[in-house]
Amino acid sequence: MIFGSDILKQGPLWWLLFSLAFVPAIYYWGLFVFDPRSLGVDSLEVVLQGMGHWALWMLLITLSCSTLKRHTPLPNPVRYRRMLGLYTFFYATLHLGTYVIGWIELDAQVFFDDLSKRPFIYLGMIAWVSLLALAVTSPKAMVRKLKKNWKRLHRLVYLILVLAVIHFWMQSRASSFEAWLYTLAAVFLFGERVWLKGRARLRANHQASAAG
Amino acid sequence: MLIKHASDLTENDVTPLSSYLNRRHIIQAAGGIALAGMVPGAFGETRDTPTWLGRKVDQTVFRSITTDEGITERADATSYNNFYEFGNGKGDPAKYSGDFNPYPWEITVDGACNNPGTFDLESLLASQSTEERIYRLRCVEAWSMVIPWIGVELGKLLQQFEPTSDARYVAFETIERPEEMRGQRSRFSFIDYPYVEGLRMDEAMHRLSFLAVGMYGEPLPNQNGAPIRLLMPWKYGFKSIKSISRISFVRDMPPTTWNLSASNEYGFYANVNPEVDHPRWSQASERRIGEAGKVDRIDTRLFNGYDEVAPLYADMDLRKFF
Repeated sequence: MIFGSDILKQGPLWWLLFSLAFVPAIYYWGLFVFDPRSLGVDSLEVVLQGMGHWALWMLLITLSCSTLKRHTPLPNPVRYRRMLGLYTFFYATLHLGTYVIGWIELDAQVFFDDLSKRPFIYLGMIAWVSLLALAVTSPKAMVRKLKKNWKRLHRLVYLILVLAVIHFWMQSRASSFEAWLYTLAAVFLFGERVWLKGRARLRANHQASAAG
Repeated sequence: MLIKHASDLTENDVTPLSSYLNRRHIIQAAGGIALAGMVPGAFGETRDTPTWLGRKVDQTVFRSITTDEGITERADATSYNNFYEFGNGKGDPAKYSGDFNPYPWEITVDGACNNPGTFDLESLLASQSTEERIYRLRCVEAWSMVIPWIGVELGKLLQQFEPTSDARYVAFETIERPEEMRGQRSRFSFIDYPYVEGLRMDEAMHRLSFLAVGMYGEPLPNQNGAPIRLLMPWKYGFKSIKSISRISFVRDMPPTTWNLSASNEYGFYANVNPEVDHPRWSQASERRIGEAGKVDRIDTRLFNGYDEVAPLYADMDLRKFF
C-alpha cells in the first residue's frame, strides 16, 4: 500500500480531501462507462483531456501546500501534500493510460513514433516518468532511506511543473487563455519559492557580515 | 466508396426514387426531430432562414456524389466542430452561434474578373440548381465525419463572374461581426480575423469543389457556416471556409489564416496526406465519428480518398507543399 500503515491514523480532513480528490475520476470514468454520450461526441477525447487537466490541477494544488503554510494561518496544509502528490501521479497515469490504450489503441509503432518525433509526447512522457520516481519514493521508509537525496530527488517536481505547462501549451491550438492561466500559476508558485530563498540568503549574508 | 466520375453521371442518377431513398436515409441520420431537440447541438441553429433558401434546399433532387460509408449523425455534425469565430471549444459553435443573424446575406466579388460586384445570396444562386453531395470531412486535428451537404459546384458559380487570365488564385473571406461572434472579440486568440482562405484556380474549378448552403436536407445551421460555406473534401477542414462574405480573384497566392498563425504547421495546400505528419501529431489515422455516434480509429487516405484530384498535384512534392 503506497500510503503505508499511517493511512489509518489520518484525521477526518485528510479523508475529506482524499475523497474529494477522487471525485473527478469517478465523474469522468463513471460517465464514460455508463453514459458516454453525456460527455460529448467523442467521449474518449473528453476523458483524455479531463485526466490531463486534473493531473495538472493536482500538481498545482500539491505545490500550493507549502505556499499556503507560509502565507496563511491554515493548520498545516503540508500534512496533505503527499496524498495530493500521489493523486497527481494517479491522474497523470490515467491520462497516459487513456492515451496508450484508448487513443492510439496499443499500437506500439505509433507509440514509439510519437515518442521519438513529437516533443509534445516525449515531454509529457518525461514528466510521467519523473512523477513515477517521486511516487515510488513517497513512502516514509524511502524518505528515511534516501536521507538528503530524497529532497534532491523531489526537486524534480519543478521540472515536472515546467514540462506539464509546456505540454499543455503545445496542444493549445487556437486560444491561449487557459495555457496562460497555468503558466501564471506556475510562475507564481515557483517565483514565491525563489523569492523566499533569495531573501533567506540575503539575510544569512547580512548576519554573516554583521558577525564578521 | 462510390465516387462517380463525371463520365459515370447519367440522368439515371437523378431519379426521384433514389432521391426519396436518400432523403429517408438522411432523416435516419438526423435522428428525428424529437431526438434532435434533446441534443445540445440542436440549439444555436439558424432561426430565420428565408423562404427562398428553404425552397432552394427543398428542390435538391439528387445525390450526385456519394459514399457507402455510414453517415454521421446530424446531431454530432452540428454540435462538434471548429468555428473559432464562436469560440475555440468544439461545442462552442453550437452553443454560441445563436446571436449570429446571417440574413440578408451579401457576397462581394472583386479582383480579376469581368463581373465584379456585391450580390445578394438569392440572386447569386438563382441560376444554379442545388445538388446533394455526401463528403468525408477530415479535420487537421485527426477526426473525421461523413456529411450530406446541399449546394452548388464552386466552379460553376465562379464562372458567373468571368474570371480573367490574371485570376490565378481565388481568395475567400469570412464575415467579421464581433458583435455577433464572440470568438472575434477574444483577446487570447492565436488567429486574426477576418478568417481568410484561398485556392489555386484549377483547384477551385475542380468538380469536387463545392459551396454548401445546406446539410442533412436543411439550410446550414449557424454553427456549420451559414449561410454559405466552402467544402474541399480532399483538404483538411480548415480550408473549407465558412460564412463567406468575399470572393476575390487574384494573381498571387493569397494569405490563409492558419498558415499566417503557424506556417510550419499549416500549409497553403493542406491536402489530406497520411504520409505528411502535422509537427505535433500523426496524420496516418483519424477518429471517424460515424453513424449512430460510433467513433472508430481508421486509416487516413491520401487526398482523403478522393484520388481523382491527384492530377492537380502531379508535379509537386507534397511534403514541401503541404
